[in-house]
Amino acid sequence: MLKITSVSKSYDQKKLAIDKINLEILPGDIYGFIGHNGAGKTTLLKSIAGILNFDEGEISIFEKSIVKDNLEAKKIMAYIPDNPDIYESLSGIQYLNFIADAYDVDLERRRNLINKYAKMFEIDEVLNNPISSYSHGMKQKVVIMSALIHSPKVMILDEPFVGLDPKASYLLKEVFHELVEQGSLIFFSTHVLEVAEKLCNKVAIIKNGKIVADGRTEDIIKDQSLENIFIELLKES
Amino acid sequence: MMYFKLMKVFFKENLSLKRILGTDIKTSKIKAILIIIAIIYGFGSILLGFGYLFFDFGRILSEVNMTYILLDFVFVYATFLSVFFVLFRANGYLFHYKDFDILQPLPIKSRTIILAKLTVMLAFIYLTVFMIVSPIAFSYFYHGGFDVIKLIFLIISLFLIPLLPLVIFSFASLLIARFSANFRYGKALNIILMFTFFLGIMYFSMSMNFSGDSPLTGQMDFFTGISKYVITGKWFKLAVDELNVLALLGLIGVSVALLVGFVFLIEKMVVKTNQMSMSTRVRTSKKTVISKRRNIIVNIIDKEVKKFFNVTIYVFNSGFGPIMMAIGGVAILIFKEDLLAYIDVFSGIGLGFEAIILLMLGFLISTVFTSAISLSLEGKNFWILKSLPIKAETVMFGKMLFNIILTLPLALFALFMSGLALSFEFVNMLVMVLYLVSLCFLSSGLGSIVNLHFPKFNYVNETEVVKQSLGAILGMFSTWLILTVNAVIYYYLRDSQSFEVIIFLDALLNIALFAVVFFYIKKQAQPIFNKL
Repeated sequence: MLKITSVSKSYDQKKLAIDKINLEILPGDIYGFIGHNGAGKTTLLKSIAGILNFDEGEISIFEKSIVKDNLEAKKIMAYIPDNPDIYESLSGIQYLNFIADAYDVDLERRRNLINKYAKMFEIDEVLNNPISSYSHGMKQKVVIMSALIHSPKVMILDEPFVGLDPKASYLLKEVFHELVEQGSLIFFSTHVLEVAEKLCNKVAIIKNGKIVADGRTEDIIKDQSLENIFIELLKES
Repeated sequence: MMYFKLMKVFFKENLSLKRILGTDIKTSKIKAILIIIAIIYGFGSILLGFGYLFFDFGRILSEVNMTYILLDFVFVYATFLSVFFVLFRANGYLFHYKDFDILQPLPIKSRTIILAKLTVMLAFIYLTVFMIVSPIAFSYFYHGGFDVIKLIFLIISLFLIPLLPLVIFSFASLLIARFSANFRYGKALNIILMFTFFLGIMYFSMSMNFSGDSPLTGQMDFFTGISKYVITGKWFKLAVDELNVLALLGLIGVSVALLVGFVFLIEKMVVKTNQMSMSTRVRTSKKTVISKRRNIIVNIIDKEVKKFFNVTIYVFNSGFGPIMMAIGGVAILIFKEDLLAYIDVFSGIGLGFEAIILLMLGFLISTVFTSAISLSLEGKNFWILKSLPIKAETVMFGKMLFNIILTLPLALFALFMSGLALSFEFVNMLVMVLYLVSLCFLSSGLGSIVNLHFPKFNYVNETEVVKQSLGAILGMFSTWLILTVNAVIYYYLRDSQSFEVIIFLDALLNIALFAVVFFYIKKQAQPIFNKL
């Protein structure tokens, strides 16, 4: 379980980027995280991934604190940023091997997973090339593969569908389902409300650093669309 | 006017205090003040050393009424600085600029964008040129007599001198970039060419006569020769030294015409080269993908090696020391007699051959400060290391080991060759090996601490980190500091203790300091990492 308890962070000690956020994401959840630009989505996701420090609260990943038990928490988690900035001097396969070594994935397993996902995302023929020669979408696919290579129990993704072609987007959604069936949980931010509505069993909406709605998708949208709910919530002062 | 608006944006982007200092002055005032002091100290010491050299040279020239020779130095230094800057930066400023996709869709004329980009690049060149030639100009006016008109003519000329190299070497910069992008081993060849070019210049300047009271007298014939045959150099000297208005007008006319012609000539080319860089060519290969399992430290070192050879300025800056050690190691066998004569100059100050060799190798080791900048070079990739389950200390030790691998083998090679050529005693060799090992480890460790405390992740071009960051300055200074401490110990003990005992003590001190550094990184790397 990913448990976020009363987490706050300020960049300038004046305004809170995220304000006392409480969320519980359970194994099997595909949890969508929605909010306007600058609402605090990336700040929260980066705090969960251990990239950003936060001022107050607690984040635990399957009972392991991201602050106190940093390495153990990271071992069962994967993070995908909103921009696939990765080591351009390495080739795709070198980068994947590097990440697999960091997560201590055995050779047989990584071979199988790299083959599986490289074929699935149709980048098996470019993995020996330097990442600097990849297009944005190809880099995004390598980042996604690097996140899947250790079968994480928790996946944190920041706008994962940006830059992916329709087929890759479809495949990624399939991978999400496959992972949650195995007991993983997925927490991702998106601006594409249709994706969130169809894919996520739960959603949270963040506005100016505060969670204004969260829970089961069907309970939140009721008989409306997620888009309507989102716009309504943004209008409320 | 759009030109001024663009310039404002570009200057803010390139010259903001936050970019230069690598930190926000509002949030960390103490850190910013420390950085400013270090930068002033760094530039101050360089300028003072350079200033003293030229002040002394001016005195010698004034005795024979030849202070005008200093103007040849001004011309050649200004030209070479411009060449160096343009070669490295013109491609990034003009032909492949990173904000092309932002600027191109805007309703702004290409010519306006080019002019604004050129202005920013020239501003950097002028800043460097004015800073470096000011001690020479001071010496010229001090020894040759001050004249306001001469000063005005000199300032005007200094704005014009970089224009000719700008025009010529911008194309050279583009050619080099195109060459390295189109060929598989183009980058390697590019690096080899650059090293050959600069080592050639070094060999050429060292092969000139080195006699007289000042080391600069050896360069005099070469420099006066250049400004004699390059017409702009000739006009510059006539304009400033003889207040020849016609010569100044000639210089202005030629330079401005060149600049205007250049802008018109490259206008379409700039759009084309930038457009070409937007598309990516993906080659597919049927080669089997190989999965390997390795220790994470080996992975980090491998990543560092790839990054090193992938960034030309990084190889050029940090690879110069190891290459000089390799060349020196071979050269000492071939040119033993010449080098002995050269080293003999230093023996006058009471240093033996062994000590001089150690000092030279120590200086070359100080030029390899990858551990002081490699964390900064993670830049926008830093999220990867932060999100992985790798301890911060492991990352830092990996980066440290890369620095040691880059330095130590060639330092030892140079030492062994020197030992063979100069017949060092076995015991002396042993302690010298121990000393070099201790120096390499301590220097790399201190570099890591420097980078942990003074990282610079926000940069556009790697040159900003490799050559201009505080990490780079402090990384080099920290090794100089160790060398100074070791030298002071040597100086005070040399009459009472033998060479091997003193060097052994120096090595022991370095090892003890390294132990402190090692435990500091082990304990502090993670908390510092978390805050970055």
